[in-house]
Amino acid sequence: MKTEIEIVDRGRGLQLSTSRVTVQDLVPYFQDGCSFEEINRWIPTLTMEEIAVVERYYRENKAALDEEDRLIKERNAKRRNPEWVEKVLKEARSERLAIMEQLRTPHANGEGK
Amino acid sequence: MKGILADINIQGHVDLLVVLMQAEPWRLFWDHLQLRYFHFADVGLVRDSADSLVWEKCQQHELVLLTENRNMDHPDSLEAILQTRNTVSSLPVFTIANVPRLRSSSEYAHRIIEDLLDSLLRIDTLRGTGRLYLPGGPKG
Repeated sequence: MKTEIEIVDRGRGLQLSTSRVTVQDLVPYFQDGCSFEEINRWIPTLTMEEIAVVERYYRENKAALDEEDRLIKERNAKRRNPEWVEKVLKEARSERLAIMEQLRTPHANGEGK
Repeated sequence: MKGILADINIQGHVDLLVVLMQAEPWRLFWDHLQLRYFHFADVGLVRDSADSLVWEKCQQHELVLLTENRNMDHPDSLEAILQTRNTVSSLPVFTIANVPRLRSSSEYAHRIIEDLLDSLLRIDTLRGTGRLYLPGGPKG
């Protein structure tokens, strides 16, 4: 029996009944005019039928979904890692660059001589 | 920490990042960290696995999840799981700040890789942080 594909709410935003991909996950693709094939290239687990179901829902609720997208983008633009994390990453960057340099340098086994 | 798990909504994007990390100039460092890359099926997850199960599998298999955050903070969202179940020893979840940009900018992809690799080098220090953003910093 074929599983019916629906838009459902499982407490994490509207999503496909057959996949954890949400309606909002696909909104930027529709806004950019991406083809179903291109969406499938980036989310290979989705079927064309599933993409079509979300696209239909998007067309029917475009204004509300575009507004939600705007709020999500606004929220995400403000989010930053804590300062101490950035400090840790800065230190890690120095160490990573040193390790990369070391990995690129031929060992003293005659290779570089 | 054993590797990276791609959330299915950005699987193609993480595939791209991993291809880049396995090529120059990152290949030697990728090998140095002895990282492995996993898809959902590799760890027994399915297409509609709930956020709570995805998070549990990551902790159980010592994987960092790469995901996007396109949802508002609903009660069963990953954000809610992080609020209630994250501990000081939990591995963080990495959220790519601007996934559409990753589709069009290789410079942005390399910035994400730099910050991801730096984070993985210090992953034990970053345990318990919950969600971290890629790329980080004011440049994000």
